[in-house]
Amino acid sequence: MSLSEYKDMFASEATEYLQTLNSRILELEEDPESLSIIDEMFRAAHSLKGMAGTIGFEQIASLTHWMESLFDQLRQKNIYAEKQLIDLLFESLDVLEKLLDQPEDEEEDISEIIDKLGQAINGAEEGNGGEVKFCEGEKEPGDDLDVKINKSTEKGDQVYLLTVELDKECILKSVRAYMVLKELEELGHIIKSIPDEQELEEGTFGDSFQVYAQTKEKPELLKSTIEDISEIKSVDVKIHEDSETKKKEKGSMLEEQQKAILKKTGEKIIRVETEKLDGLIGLVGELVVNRTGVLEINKSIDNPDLNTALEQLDLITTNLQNAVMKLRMVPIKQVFDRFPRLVRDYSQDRNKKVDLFIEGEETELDRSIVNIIGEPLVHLLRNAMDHGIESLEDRKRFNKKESATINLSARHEGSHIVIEVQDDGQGIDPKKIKAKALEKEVKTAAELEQMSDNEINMLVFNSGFSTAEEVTDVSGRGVGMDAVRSTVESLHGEINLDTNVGEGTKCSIKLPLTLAIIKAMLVRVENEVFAIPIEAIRENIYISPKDINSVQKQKVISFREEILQLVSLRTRLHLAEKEKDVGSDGFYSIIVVESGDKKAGLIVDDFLGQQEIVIKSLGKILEGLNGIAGATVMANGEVALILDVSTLV
Amino acid sequence: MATILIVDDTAFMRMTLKNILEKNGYEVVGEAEDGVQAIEKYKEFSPALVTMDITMPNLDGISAIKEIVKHDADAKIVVCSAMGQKSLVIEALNAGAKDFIVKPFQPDRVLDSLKKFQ
Repeated sequence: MSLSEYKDMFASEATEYLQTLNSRILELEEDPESLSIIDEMFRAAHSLKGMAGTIGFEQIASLTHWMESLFDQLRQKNIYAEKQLIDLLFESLDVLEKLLDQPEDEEEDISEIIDKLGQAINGAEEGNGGEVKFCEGEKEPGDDLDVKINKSTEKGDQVYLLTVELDKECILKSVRAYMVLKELEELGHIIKSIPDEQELEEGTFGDSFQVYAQTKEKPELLKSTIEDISEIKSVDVKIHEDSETKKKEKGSMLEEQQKAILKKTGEKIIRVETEKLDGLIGLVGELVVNRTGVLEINKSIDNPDLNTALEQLDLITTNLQNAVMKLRMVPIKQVFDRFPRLVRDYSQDRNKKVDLFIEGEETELDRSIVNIIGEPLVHLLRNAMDHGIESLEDRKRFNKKESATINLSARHEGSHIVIEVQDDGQGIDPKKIKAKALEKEVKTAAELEQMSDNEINMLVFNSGFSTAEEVTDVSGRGVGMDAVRSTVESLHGEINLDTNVGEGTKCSIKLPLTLAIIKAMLVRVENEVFAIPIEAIRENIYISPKDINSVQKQKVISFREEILQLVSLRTRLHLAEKEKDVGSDGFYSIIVVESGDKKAGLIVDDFLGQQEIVIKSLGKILEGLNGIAGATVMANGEVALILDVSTLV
Repeated sequence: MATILIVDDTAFMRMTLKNILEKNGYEVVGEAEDGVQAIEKYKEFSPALVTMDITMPNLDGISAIKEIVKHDADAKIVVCSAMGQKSLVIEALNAGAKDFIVKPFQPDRVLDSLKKFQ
């Protein structure tokens, strides 16, 4: 197996460790003496170091090595986790993150951060009267081995490298390893083991491990003694000579350790490409559709036996569909985990005190949504800290608690997930928004007159509303609240504001749990069936031809005191030259759709009803077709095109 | 043929082991249900080998191993443990057990382990 195949696994595991470190450091800031937190950080750094060393990411290995040493000093209470140290740890994490992201052939300069870590560690050691572990620059793991060996060979003993392979079926590997070490201790002295004793003890290694042992005994005796232990497959005893041979051995060790990594992760979790999963979901989707087809046919046959069988089939397909959907679900924790850090840094930067409370981080949603929703949430959080939460002086003046609160929560609501960002800041004042809207010419005074306070507040999500004079490094990036809304809408979700002046703002995002299946309204135009995503639909209405006016050759109606532009799907999609006459009942069937802040009425022939549909892409050739977002196969086998409302209005 | 003392608090496990052992030419000279009995029977039969369960009523396997080793420093005791008793197994090895086997028993494993002591 080539190294590159491990890289993805490495990256995803390493990211998990980084997140662990991230959240533990935050916890440590609250509880600087907690040994359990320090222990966990130590283990995370240690595991990262091992992984990075194995795969050959020297810089990551080196940096984590230093972090590990620092954690060790913390653990021994030689240093205290004061703010400066926490900042240093975060800084190290940032560098680590950069190292993980960078292309392999690039080298980041990590000497600065290592210097800082070294200073912190040295400071600890000076204060501690010289209980020193690592401090004279970077060391290969083998270097301290050489030091130890040099000391030991003076006594005239020989150092051997034993490679012990356990039976594949060995159950308590750690105990076997323990027996090996115990025997070796009786025959001589153990210098070190690979992996280290802690890992051997935990049993988190592959089928083999290595031990450097120093003894007067003959290698044959070492071999036979170890081989006598049960479940030992083989023992290889080599004389350890010098660093030259060590380098060569490193190659084979590398392989062993890779096996170990693979084994470790392979046991409980298998990683599957999303593409394969999508394929499976597609198939299940089609199964669901075909099931509906069979059920339809049965209605006309009405055979009781078939009925029972089909009911069972129906149940199983539904369960299968749910199970497959679940495979794609991941907890939103993945996204939320980075926020405590973000809030900490950002609020410090803005000289505000903010406590972030997170709720429902175990709530699951579709992986693809998780990947997209992070950015908008970052923006909402920053926005809350920038514009929502008042300055320290203002909060004092308003008799508010000095440290502000942001609640970030996620929960399921039916087939949706609701994510809320709530702050106890100053809220949004509709008067100010009104003024801004006029200034930016987003709305006219007359339009504003007719809008409710909530509608006015929602204008903050309007494009062109980003308030340029409040440029921070966020707004500077051109990511406005309108980008938040458009992201949410592209996920077929909706966004809402609930705000009280002086009390705070709650922004809720409601998203479907999955993107693969949506609820859609089926409509007929000419002889074609089209699906319109239900999220885009405001209502269905019947309009008499006499209510239709023409403004600049454009058909419009006056609808709920608004001018609503009509779009004829028939001509817009080139199904016919011109709009046909009204239906037999003398009315036009119109679907009012909304995209962003634009509304339009789509003229259709017939409403066919709502249905859950499986979204299929149209493939490369038809990609980007104006007005069409995809296609779906209906129960009767017909293909219906899914309309892309945003390009139609 | 080697004589064996089987120590286990469940009759089923004793029977399973006995079957495996007798089929392969061992002579099971005694069975004990707990640590106290194990010590008594060891003194009574002086078996060549002992299979020792860890978790047992009255006196656990580890204490029994210690007592037996006190009585006979050369006692050859193989610990029978369940999965997940890692630290107990290590304790038993430190107390003087020579090897361990993990339940559920695989005949080959059991025999492999015992063969070493002949």
